[in-house]
Amino acid sequence: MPRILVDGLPVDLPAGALLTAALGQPPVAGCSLAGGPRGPLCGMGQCFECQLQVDGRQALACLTRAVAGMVVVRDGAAGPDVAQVSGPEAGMAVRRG
Amino acid sequence: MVEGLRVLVVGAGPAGLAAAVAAARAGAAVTVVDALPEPGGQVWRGLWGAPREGRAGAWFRALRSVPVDLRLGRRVITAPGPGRLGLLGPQGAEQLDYDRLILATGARERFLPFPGWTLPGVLGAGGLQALAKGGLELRGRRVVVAGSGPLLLAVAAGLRARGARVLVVAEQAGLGALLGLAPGLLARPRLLAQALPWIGLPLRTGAWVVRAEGAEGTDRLERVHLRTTAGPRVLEADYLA
Repeated sequence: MPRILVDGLPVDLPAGALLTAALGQPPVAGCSLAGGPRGPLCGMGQCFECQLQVDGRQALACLTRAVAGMVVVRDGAAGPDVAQVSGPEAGMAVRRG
Repeated sequence: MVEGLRVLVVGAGPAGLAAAVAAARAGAAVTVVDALPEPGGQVWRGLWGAPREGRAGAWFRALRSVPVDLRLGRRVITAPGPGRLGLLGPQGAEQLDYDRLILATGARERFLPFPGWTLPGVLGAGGLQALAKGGLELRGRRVVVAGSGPLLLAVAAGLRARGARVLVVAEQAGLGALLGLAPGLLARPRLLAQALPWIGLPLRTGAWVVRAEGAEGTDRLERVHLRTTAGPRVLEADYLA
């Protein structure tokens, strides 16, 4: 059962789960330019609504399998402790927030 | 003539796998690219690691039996010149040269926007199905399935099997249009067998979503407004697919 960090908080996932399973009920991956929350829409890599950062790189939650130790930062949904969790570059890469 | 020909297949779903296996058996040097981390596409998503009978298992075994270069978790982002594609994957950017390109990129859902369609909890029908297969827990969740076509029933049956409470399957087409499909279905026993899990689903024809409404303060889906032949309906739901 892989444990990952989402916005600094530990989340346990079933083996083989996608990151979309770690983003709450319903899943929220980030927010729009206007600040409204956004979650996965298509589930198959087309819409980019579930884009977030995994270990400092842009990734789509719906195409990314959770691996123990992954550090996930949601686009614009992250708390003030983002920099402590994943380094200063993570905050700089936030584009849509 | 095919011997050594560099064949690049984009898409590792059923069509892409069939193309890759056929080309490899004919002696081509085959590379398969897919955005997902495993072969199978959307149709056979999540089945690669599982021992599997039937068509998926047969094609996976066929794929394993031929020398195919699988490059997974990569998306095609550019075609910089003839015979070349640029990919972006976990190791960054890479380029692939080919003599023949086979696009087996499949289908995607078509979304018709309505007020509230961007709320978290509002997804494509296939999208919610994919997330459920990907570990999203739906036990006890209230789900409205809406749109048009047989995918809705297949998705609704799948969600119900995972413990979701399917409140309604709102099919935009009228009952007459659906009944028009029945003779074709009855003539194809295999399709009919696929339809067995649909029994008992709360199908409502001539119904569609006019609006999705978020919960106060959270902006997450709370209510789904439907237009039906019997007038407007409002349902409280956790998901609209």
